[in-house]
Amino acid sequence: MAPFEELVSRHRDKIYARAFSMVRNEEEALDLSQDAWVKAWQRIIQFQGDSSFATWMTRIVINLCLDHLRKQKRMRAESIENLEEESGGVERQMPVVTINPTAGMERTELRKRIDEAMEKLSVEHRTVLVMHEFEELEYKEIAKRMGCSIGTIMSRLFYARRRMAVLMAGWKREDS
Amino acid sequence: MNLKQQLEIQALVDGELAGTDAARVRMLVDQDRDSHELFEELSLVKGALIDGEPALAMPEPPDFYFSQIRRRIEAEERTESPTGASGSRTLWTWLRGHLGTVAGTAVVVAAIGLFAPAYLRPYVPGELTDSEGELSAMTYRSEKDSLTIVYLFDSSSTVEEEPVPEPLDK
Repeated sequence: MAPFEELVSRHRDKIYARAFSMVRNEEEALDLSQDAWVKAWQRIIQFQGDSSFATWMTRIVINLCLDHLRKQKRMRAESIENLEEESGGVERQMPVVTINPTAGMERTELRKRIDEAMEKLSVEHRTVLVMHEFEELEYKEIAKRMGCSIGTIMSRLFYARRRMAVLMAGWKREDS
Repeated sequence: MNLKQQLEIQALVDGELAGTDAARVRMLVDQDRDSHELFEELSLVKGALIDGEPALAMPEPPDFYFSQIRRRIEAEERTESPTGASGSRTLWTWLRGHLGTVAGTAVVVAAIGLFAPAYLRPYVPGELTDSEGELSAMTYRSEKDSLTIVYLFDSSSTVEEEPVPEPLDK
């Protein structure tokens, strides 16, 4: 098991971070990341090297997180029409942010601010943001994993980004 | 600018548009100020998220974390078949139990490899007659091993079968 321990050692932080970014709970993230490693051990023979090991592992932990969120009923597979913030076209009314609020910001600070901003999103919006921006999954793939239409994914992503833009614009005001 | 156009602009930012759709939306972004500003904002947020992906360190010591994983793996492996995880060892247990010391019976075992080419498959009678209704059959199928075994026996003979051993973990 020594080689497997080496793999865990190399990738544990990233796998934990991915789980935490989705469930936003330390204990659950630890549990889910460990579940992911157990599954990886059981399925290692299926890993064919089509993608990097890190990509393969994050896919496993993302699927576990999605199952977990569904079981907790924290994530609703609803259409855009049913989501409160989208029914009134709220995101369309937000003023467009034209000044880059991250200019001159150190990376450590930026990461902290991004993390705080993502905390303010709903589970659905945060999930689609994580899967698209951090995991670089296409709309089609996200829709399949989340069990909803591509249109719903696009709308959620749009809202999440616009919300992030408004939150980020607030940083400049706070700093000044 | 309606929602459809806004989502198309987002799709352009994400590289999800191709061909004439991409060209059309690109033209809109170039020619319409609001569309251009939205394109810039979405690109800015995308870039910030990529640069600012939170890097979280695990809150548990590495050794402890791995020891928990190892414990779970060992627990999972203990709950598997007592004779081992492999389907073939489970098959062997089944075979031992059912073909043991049965005597005075006509035994036909037809192993049919589900994915084996025809020339590798053992001869299997195309038709079995059971005019007196005394043939019984048991089938064992293993998807994992791509194997099906049909065990035919003369149910008219009275034979005491050797009992199948109990699983070791009970």
